[in-house]
Amino acid sequence: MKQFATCLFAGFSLCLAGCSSKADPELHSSSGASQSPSSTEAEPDHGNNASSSDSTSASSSASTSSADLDPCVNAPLSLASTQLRRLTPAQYNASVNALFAPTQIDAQPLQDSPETFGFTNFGARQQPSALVIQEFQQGALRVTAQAMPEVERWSGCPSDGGAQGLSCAERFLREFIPRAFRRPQSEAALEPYFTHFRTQLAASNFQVALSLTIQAVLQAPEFIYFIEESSPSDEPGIEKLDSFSVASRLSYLIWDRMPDQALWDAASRGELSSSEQVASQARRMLADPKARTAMVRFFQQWLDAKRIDRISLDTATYPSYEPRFNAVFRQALDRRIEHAVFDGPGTLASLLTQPQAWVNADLAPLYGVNDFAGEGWKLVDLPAGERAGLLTDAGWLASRSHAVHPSPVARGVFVLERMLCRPSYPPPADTDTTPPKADPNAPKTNRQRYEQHVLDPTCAGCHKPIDGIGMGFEHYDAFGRWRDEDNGFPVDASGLLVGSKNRSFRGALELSRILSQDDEVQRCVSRQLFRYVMARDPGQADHCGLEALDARFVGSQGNFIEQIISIVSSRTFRYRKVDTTP
Amino acid sequence: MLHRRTLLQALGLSAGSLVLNSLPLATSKVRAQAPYRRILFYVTSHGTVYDNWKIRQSSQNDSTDFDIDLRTLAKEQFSSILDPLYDLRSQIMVIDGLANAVGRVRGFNEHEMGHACLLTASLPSEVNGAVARPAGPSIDQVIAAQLQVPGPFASLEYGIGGWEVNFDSNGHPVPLQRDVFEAHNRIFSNTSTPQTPSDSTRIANAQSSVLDLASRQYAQLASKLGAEDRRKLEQHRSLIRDLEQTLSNLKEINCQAPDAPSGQPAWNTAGWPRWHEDAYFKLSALAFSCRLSRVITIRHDQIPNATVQAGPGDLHNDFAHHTHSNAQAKEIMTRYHRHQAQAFARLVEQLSEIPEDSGSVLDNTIVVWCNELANGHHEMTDIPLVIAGGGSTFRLGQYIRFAPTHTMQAPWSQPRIGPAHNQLLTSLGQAMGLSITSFGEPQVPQGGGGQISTTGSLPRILA
Repeated sequence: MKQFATCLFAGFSLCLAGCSSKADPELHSSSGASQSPSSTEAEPDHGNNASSSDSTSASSSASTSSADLDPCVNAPLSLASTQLRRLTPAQYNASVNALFAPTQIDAQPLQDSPETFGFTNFGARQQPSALVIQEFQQGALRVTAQAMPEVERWSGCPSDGGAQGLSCAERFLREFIPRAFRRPQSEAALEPYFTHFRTQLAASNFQVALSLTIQAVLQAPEFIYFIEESSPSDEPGIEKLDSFSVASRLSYLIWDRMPDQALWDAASRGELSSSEQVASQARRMLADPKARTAMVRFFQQWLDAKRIDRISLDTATYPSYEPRFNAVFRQALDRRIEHAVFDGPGTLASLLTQPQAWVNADLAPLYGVNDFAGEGWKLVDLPAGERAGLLTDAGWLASRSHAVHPSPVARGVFVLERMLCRPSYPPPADTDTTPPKADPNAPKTNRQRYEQHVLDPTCAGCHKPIDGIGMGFEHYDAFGRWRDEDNGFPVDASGLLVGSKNRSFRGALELSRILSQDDEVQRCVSRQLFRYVMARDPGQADHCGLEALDARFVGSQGNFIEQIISIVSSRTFRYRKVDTTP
Repeated sequence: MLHRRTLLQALGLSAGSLVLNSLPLATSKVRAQAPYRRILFYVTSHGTVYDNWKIRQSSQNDSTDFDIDLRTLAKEQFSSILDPLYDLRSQIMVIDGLANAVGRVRGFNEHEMGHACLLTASLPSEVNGAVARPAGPSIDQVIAAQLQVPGPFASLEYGIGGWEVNFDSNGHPVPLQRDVFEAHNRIFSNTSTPQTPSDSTRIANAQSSVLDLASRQYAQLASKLGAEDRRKLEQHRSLIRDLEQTLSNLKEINCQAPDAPSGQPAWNTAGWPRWHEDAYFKLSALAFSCRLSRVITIRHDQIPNATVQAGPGDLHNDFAHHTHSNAQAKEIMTRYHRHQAQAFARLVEQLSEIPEDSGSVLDNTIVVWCNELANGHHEMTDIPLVIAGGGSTFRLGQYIRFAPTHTMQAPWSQPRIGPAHNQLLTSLGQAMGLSITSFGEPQVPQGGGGQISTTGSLPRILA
């Protein structure tokens, strides 16, 4: 009964859409000629396009494909609905620290929501459960227990409330609650909290009453969820978010926490209404150091950086490997990303081709950097012809390896799934995935060991594209080190990028250069950014909005910061589809 | 049967740290209606190594149903994986030959489908790179929702690594509590009330007023939202109300908190998993005996290489996937599943050592050891199952083999399958008092056309 096909594979994920009938039709439609950057030249609030705040960069890349064939030109604004989101654990903890500053509050252990495409912020996946609700309750208890000893510092009230405990608390709550809820609160909205405080004060004392009141605030829907307000637009079912909703979306995206005073003031004055106003605030916020942690998180999730935590190499083959390298690899990758995005040209191309990396004394030998001296981290030039860019990052390479041999499959699947947005599927359940035994008399290279994949027709449909990319990384061993020989034979790192272009290439550097200029990659990365920023997958209704954003990303040479600004200033971000189901 | 002092020693507790309540929540009226019964799912990973899991005697033919009386077997007749359960052989039932057939209907990643289908037997939808979303709830959640006398916690879900296996009525995963210290705090932090109230106890005692205020805010806001968002806020509000009830019920429980777990070994050391297993087992045993909950899941996926003396590499990719053809991988994964059998044995023993009524907690608890897959090759036929406890419900002491009866149409192949595991879930639900005659997806495609029914229960496993 067993279907015997020797397909090596590395874990989850491994067969391309071409293997089954599950191909995403959108994938194929987007690589054709329908791209029409001309739509970006329209007035920003009268089309589905992204902001025109710097429209020149986008239009410069315009092909001359005829606008009248593009259904998105002058199309009415259309959006898929966004499900109610709640604070992620990082956002909850940063918010709590902002609320009680300067008092420092420990991070509370909250559940991360399940991943979708690697992202953990999707509203659709943030379901309430008994555990989650109790975590918020216990979190509120612990936060107030830690904050209360310094109550004077953050409330301005004496530690026992003083002679005017009630009025001091009310004055404090009048300022604290709107900040926690990210919008001004009416007296009627504040009253239940004041009443609660008064009741508790009568029963106990100032600190107990204030603790119990703040705990209710920290469990309120306006704190835990993104409760948005909007007003009707010209399009039925589509509403324009009010300035405070936009401010909240912005500040939680870029800083993980509620708006600062400047953003709050802008919202109060209604100055987050136009595309340009939002772009200008976003630009200011992205320049703030607080933006770095939150933005690096996008890359960690997109690139599945946590996989590095699971590296476990054979120490007989790699005697210099120690488990502590995993943490070093994570740091190095974070630094690489932060540098490429914030300190360098900030483009996808620079992320993929940058000839420098951050290394410390552990990593320098791995990268063939021989003249490294001293402590700490340094940005160094990498050996030319061997290394450049993310796909030559040692941690990334090692996290897609087996204990002894690198995994062309895991490396290829990553590029296909996360950089080309081509879904892959696992081999049939009873496929024998055991690697062929090494014959001692006929030493074989890693490449040869995988050749069965493309010889066996059962495997080839999926593995030609996977291995075609993955074999390009054969110059890097499972530790991520450069190698000229594999098992005594010269490394053959030639590969084939299967697809509309069918390009052959040699080695990871050439592959990276090709990918960095490939509009399919740029569109995929644009989609990944959309997912993270909007906390949902784009739907059918987002087609025109996404097309316009894709065009802007391509037009900006894949500039990440500019793309964040493009998304947040687009109507996709500033409007929402309202659910009118009764 | 153990006396209390022995029990405390068995649980590693100092005398006085635990006060066994007589009957905190269950009233005599309730007891008259139905036996107070509980259920625990111990869910492990990677599928078993079937050759080293199954038990056979020379006379048996795999193509027909048969039973083996485990009590008559010599130790060497047990399989190497089940060997740690030998001393418990009269208290366990081994079920061999069921198929997670629903888990093979669709054609995406088997881990994603296996997790989703194991306890739901419902058709899964793919969620990119994560556990799939089943069409319906898992049996544990259905049981928890329908118990007339639940504990303060309708159900508890613990995770030593691994994806979720419990799903709510909308098919959303129920999160696993993955930090044993937090798990301890969750069920024990609210149970004691010192004589002299301090600020912190005043605050603890006034939590219902806080939750009441919060829940009113949810009710008020929900009405302003669209249907989908409203449903989410209303669910949140109803869970806050449940928590209020939980905290209030906990005050009635006469069960003093044991010491928090301590001495956690470093990750990647051989003793890491056992420490976690024992910590969760102790929590579960206390939660059961103190009647804090009647439905518990322990998901266990984290065993470092050192525990099973495996060389470097990823246990999943480098070992579990190669058990069919690589002798070393097979041996290491055999050790892996043997480790889980040892853990399961300690869990069962612990429950059997806590006196209750005229027997032990184990007599009133069904303990199920199951796995997201059948084997390391991602198959779903001959799924490994061991059941302990439940008093006289099941044919304990028996090894029950179900031969293949049907050919199923799966996306890439046509596996021969025994009864669908839906029928086991139905039997478990019935044993817990549910009035059901089927569970999950009622049929799966048959090879050559037609459908195979998955309804009904498994009378052969019942005493």
